[in-house]
Amino acid sequence: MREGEIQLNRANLASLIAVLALLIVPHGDHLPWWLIGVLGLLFSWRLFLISIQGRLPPSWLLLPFTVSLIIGVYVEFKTLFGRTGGVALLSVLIGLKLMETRGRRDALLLVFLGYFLVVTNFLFSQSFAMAVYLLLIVTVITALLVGWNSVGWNRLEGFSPLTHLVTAGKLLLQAVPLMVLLFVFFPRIEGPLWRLPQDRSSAKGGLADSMSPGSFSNLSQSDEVAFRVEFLGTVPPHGALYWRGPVFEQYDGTTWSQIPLGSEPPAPVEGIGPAVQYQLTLEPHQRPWLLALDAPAQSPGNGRISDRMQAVANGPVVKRDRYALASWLDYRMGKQQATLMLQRSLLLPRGNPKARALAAGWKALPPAQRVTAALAYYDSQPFTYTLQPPLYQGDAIDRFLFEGRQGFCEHYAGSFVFLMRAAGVPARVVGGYQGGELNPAGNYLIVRQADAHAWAEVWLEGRGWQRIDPTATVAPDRVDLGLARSVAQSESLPMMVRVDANWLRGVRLGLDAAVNAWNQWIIGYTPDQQMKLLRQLGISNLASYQFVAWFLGMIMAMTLPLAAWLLWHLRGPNPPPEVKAWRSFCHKLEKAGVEVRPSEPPLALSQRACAALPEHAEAIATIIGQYLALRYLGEASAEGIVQLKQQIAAFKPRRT
Amino acid sequence: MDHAITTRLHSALAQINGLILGKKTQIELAVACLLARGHLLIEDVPGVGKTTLAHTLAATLGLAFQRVQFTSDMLPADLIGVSIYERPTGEFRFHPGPIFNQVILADEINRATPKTQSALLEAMEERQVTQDGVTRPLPDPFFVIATQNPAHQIGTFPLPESQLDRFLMRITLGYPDPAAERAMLMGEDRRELLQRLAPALTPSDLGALQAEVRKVHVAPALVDYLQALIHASRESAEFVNGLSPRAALGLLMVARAWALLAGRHAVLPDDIQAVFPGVATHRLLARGSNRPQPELVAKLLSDVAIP
Repeated sequence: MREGEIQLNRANLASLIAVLALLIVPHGDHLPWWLIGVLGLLFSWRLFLISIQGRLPPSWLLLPFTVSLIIGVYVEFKTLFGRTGGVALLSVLIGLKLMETRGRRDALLLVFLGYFLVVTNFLFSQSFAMAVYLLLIVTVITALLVGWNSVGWNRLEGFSPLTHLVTAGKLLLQAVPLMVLLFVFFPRIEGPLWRLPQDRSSAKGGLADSMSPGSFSNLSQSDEVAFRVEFLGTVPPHGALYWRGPVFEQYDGTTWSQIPLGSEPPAPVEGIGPAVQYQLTLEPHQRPWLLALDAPAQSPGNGRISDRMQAVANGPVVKRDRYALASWLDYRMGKQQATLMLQRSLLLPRGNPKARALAAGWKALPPAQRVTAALAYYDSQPFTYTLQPPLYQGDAIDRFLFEGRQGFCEHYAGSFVFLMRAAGVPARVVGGYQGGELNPAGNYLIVRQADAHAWAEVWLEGRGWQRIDPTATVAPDRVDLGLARSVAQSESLPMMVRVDANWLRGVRLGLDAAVNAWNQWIIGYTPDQQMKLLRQLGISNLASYQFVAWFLGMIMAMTLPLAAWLLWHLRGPNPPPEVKAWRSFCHKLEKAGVEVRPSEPPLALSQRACAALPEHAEAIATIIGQYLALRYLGEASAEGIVQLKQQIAAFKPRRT
Repeated sequence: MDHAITTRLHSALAQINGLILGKKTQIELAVACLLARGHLLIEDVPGVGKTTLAHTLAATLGLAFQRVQFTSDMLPADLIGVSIYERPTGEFRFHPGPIFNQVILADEINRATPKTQSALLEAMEERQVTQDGVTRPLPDPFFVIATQNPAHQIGTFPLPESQLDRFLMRITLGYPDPAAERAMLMGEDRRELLQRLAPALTPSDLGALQAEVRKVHVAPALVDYLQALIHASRESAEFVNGLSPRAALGLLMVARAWALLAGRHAVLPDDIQAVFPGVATHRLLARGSNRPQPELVAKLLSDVAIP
């Protein structure tokens, strides 16, 4: 620290350190453990030194420490740059900088590094929560700056955190128009300048790629959002909201699994009635399928429709995906179905003799009536719909149908398809979601993992594939009203899935609307969309001078009036004429090489100027004498001012 | 103003300068302080001529002078005087103390107890003393020159800020430069010179000069500058306290006296700058050290632009 520099007091320094720590904390995820340890040590060491007012470590001790830490970062990341390596290096340097920070200069540097750390956090996560967190921290850092500059760097009395926070908030609000302008129009760079942040999939579970006992009932305990949907028109009734996911065609006695998709064209579908238009925002779930309202009428922009009418993405969905789709709620699908698919929809493993016997009894009936008979069986027996079904082992279907009779959708769909196949009707299990909750705060539908559902499809001659939901026979409320209204009150459900009105639930729905808006309008604002917007404004090339000029013009149009207004308001009272004349004289002196200091009194200036410009000494003495007479000696007069002006006009010192 | 008075004032200054060599600025500041009717604090090490300065000032200006050595066992009565019962008349008679002089040199003021200090400082402010219920006015002019030794603080009672504020100015004399010192060493004995000193001004001249100081013109622009300085001292983070309104008034008066000494009838920013350190330094204690810091005051002056 340089001599005579203003030192920060302890409280100011401690709050700066706290803010920096808060900025490094989110990086804890991607920094190695030893680095976190070192940073924790450095931060707490500095805080400790503050509390005991101890001496800072000498530089000969810090230097080798610094070098070894930088080498450590290099060894860890094989580079000092890039996203993670850069952040690691920056954190290390900030921690070390703390060790020599006492005064204003270093504190300012740390503040600006703090602003930079804010940006680095966005390289790893662009979630709504992170944005809110960082915005709060930016306000706090700005408030620190406001406080230091308005009260003083080294004093504490007069510091009122709330006032400074309010001032900082106002400053940031004033910057909002500029921020919006920059956000909308600053050329968006398509990765990978840095590897784009992939917010870790919040959905830890999600539909599995097979259906085994318990896989759906486990999901009922998760109120994670699976996807959100906005309908262009009215929202279809709850009972019609079958979100089609993976189709399970293979059964091995315990698990229903998918048959790998080929590149076959989609099954032919005839829609009945108008298609429903909607936009679906899918949370990442690491699986290749997309969700679509049964049955999709077109391919989504980011994928295709398989021969099993599944919407599939081009690869695993690892980041939040948003696509537009249209679906028919009523349809005829696969009237002319390939025999191979029908044949494999009849395959069954060995076992479950009782179920086979039951189904054999229906073989004499026409296929459509076999379906009705099976549903009637579910209706006639005391089946219960429960979140905690027992685990059926051995001949699981027999045990469920004839002994336990307690099950979740996977049991009903699975046993129904088994019965149908045993009775000679091609059938398959379809996984997906059913229903969803309309968020009144944003008028969109939230579908959660707990809405996961499985149902059956049977193929009937002349009708094609037809959706049959045996769960609806046992628990009609599940389909019409949702999971929460269909299970007994005693069954435990996560808060966001329950029906009881809870203010916290309302808050969380409001928050979900904010998150949704953030995802759509901020994260979803891609270079493509920017280009589309700019084309509407008549700009086709971001690299053109035309755009740069237009962009700068917009910024100036926004800031110049404000600057003009500020200057107008901050200008002092109009100076008297002799002062104006005096300023022009000072200006001339400066041009002639005589430095004019604002705190230097006129007589002293006179002496210096006369010595510097001896050939003009007389004129200088006259002018200064006249000025003093006008301004300080109480001899102000209009003629005097005219005289002064003339004398100054005549004063033409040549540059020495 | 009478031209004769001005001439006599300058011959008085010349006379003081002839006795105290090489301290022209300090002497002018001391005279300006006197003309502004303020009291003077000289802070310096022993033997640099504090007493001689006070004595010379008094003698040259034709004022009665008394030196009082302050000690820790000194009582207010030693300063103000006592009433003594006189048997022949059967009455108490007041024996005035040394304070009833026109110029008092309070030597080593910080050696006296706070009680005695405050008796003196009260007299300085009120220009009268009250003893046994009788209020007695002090002579006019009444001028206190106090000295204190900054280096030896053991066994002293440093003046608190509130009392420092009573002194209009604080100056330091410092060692003379070699030429002046040589002239002093080669010259006559100071004591003899002092004995021979004749008053250059009459008490009425001094009264006229003090009245004249009040008439020196102060332009609004100058008040702007003065206020800017005062404001800066209060806003600055360097000082414990800013300058008081009393300091502001005093600053203006001394600046007027300074202008008058320079032969001007209006105050210029130059005058303010010349007297500002004398008026401000002892009132602006540095945060942290709680001591006057002349460099900080100089920085304050150079930081405030003249409007």
